[in-house]
Amino acid sequence: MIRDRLGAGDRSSSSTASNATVNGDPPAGPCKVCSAPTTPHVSTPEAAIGRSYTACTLCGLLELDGSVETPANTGAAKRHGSAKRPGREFAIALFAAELLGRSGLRTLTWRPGNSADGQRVARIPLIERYDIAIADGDEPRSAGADGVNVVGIEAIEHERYDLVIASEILQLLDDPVEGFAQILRGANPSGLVVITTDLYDGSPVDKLRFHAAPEHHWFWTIDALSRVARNEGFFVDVRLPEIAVHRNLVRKRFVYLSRDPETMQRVRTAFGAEIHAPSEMAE
Amino acid sequence: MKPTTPAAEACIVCEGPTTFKTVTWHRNPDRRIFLNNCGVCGFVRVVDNPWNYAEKGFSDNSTSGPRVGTESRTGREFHMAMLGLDLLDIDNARVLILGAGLSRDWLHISRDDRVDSVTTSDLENFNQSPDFLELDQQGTREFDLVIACEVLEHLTNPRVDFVQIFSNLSSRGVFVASTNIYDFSPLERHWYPFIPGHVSYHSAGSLECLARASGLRVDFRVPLVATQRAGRRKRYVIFSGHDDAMSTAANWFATNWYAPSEIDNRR
Repeated sequence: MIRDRLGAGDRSSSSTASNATVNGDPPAGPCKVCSAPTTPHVSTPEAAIGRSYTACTLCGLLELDGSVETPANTGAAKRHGSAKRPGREFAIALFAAELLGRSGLRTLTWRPGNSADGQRVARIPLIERYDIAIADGDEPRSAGADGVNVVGIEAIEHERYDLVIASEILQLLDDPVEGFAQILRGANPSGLVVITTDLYDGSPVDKLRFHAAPEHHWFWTIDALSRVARNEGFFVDVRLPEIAVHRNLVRKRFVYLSRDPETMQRVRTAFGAEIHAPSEMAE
Repeated sequence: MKPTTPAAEACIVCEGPTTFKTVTWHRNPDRRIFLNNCGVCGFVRVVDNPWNYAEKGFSDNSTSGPRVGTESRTGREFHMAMLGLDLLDIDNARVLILGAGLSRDWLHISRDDRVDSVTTSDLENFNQSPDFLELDQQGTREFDLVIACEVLEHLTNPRVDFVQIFSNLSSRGVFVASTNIYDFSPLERHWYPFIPGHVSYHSAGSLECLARASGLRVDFRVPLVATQRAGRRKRYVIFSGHDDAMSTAANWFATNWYAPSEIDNRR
C-alpha cells in the first residue's frame, strides 16, 4: 500500500525522483533495511526545510542525508514529563505494566533525555527495577531520582527486561537494523517493547516537518520496521496515541512488539477498553 | 408463580462468579435492567431483555438508521467488509453477513472486485438477499470473511453461538464484528445494555475468552463512528486463527487512524 502511494507520489510530486534527483550524483546505495534499490530525492524547499534523502523502492524507508550527529538528548520536548506533569514515558510504562499484569517487572527506557518521569515510573508498584540507558553526553534529568538506575548502553548488552521503552529513538539510530535490533534484544522472551515514532505513509515529503529535523537519520515505514522486527522474531502491533489526536500528529504511532503471542494478545485485549494508546496529555 | 432468576450464577462465558445487579439509567429512574456481571472476564448478561425482530420488526434507529446500508447508500457492514477484505488480501473472497437485518450492503459488497460471493443469514431473509443461509445451516459452507454488525450483543448463549459462527470460517478466514465493549465504567451511564434485545454486553476479556476457546486470536479496533455518534466504546472486533491477519491489521492502522465506518464515505 505504501509502495503504491510512494510510486504515485513520485510521479506527481514536485519533489519526484525524475525532477529532483541530484543530477550527477552517483546512484543511491541499497536500502539499509531490505537491500532493495533506493532513489535519490531532494525535498523542495518550503519553509526552509529542503533536504536530500533516498527512498527505498521496496520497504519505503527514507534515509535522510546530511544528518547531524545525534546530539546529547538533553533538550526539552512536549512529550517529556515535568516536575508537575507526567509525560510519555510514564503513560507508556503505566499502561504496559497494567497490561502485562505481573509484579517484579524489570523496565528499561532508552535515552529519556529531559524527561522527569523517571521517579514516577520507578514508583509504579508492578515495576521492581527501572533502568534508563544513556549514550555519551546524555544528561538524563531523572539521574539521581529514587529508584532510577542510569546505565550506559554498552552495559545493558546482556540485560533482559520485561518492558523496554524507546520513545523517539528509532529515527536517531546510526545503523537502523543493528540499532533497532539492539533495542529489541533487550526484551526477555515474554517481554514487551514499546516504540514511539512517526511512520512515513507515502505523503509528499516536502510538507512533513519530521524529515527536516537535522538529527533525524531515518523516516521509518511500517514495512521497514516490520522487516527488522520479524528478523528478530517479534510480532508487531500499531496504535494511535492520544496525543496524535489532540495535536493532529497525523503519522505519530506507538508500536508494541513482543516475541510472545500471548503478550501480543494482552496488548490487543487492552485496546478493547482504550480508544487510543495512553500518552502524555496535551498542554 | 412468576419464574425468578437466580441472584448469583456462573458466568455463561468463563464460568467465573458473577454479581447480580439492578442498574437504573441515569437519565430516567424508571428505566432499569437486571444483570449478572462476571468478576473474572467482565461479561455482562442482561436478564430478561428480549426482542424478536421477526415478530416486532426494526423500529429503532440502531436497526434502521445510518449504519444500515440502503440501495443507494453504503452502511457499516460495507465498510467492515472493505476492512476485512484488506486484511485478507485475497481474490474471490466468499463473504457471509450474519444478522444483516434490513441492510442492503450485500449489494454494495458484491460489487467489489475482490469478492466472489455474498451470502446473508438471519432469522428471516429480511433484506431480499439472493443468497440466503438459514441460521441452522451455519457451518455447512466455508467463508473467507464473516461480518456481524451489532449482532454479538443479541446472542443468548455465547459459548455455543460463537462456536457456530466460527464454524463458518475457512482455514485462513477472518471474522469482523461490531459491538460496544464494556469497559468497567459505571453501567448506569451505558445506554447499550438498556436497548431491547441486548442480552450480552461483552468485555474485551469475555471476547478473548471465547476466541481462545476456539483457538483464535482477537483484536479490537476503533471505527471512525466511535469518535462521533456511536460513542467511545464502539469497536470492530477482529477474530482470526492466524497471527498473519493480526499483523496485517497492525500494518493497516500504521497509516490509518480509524477503521472505516458509515460516516466514512470516501469509498
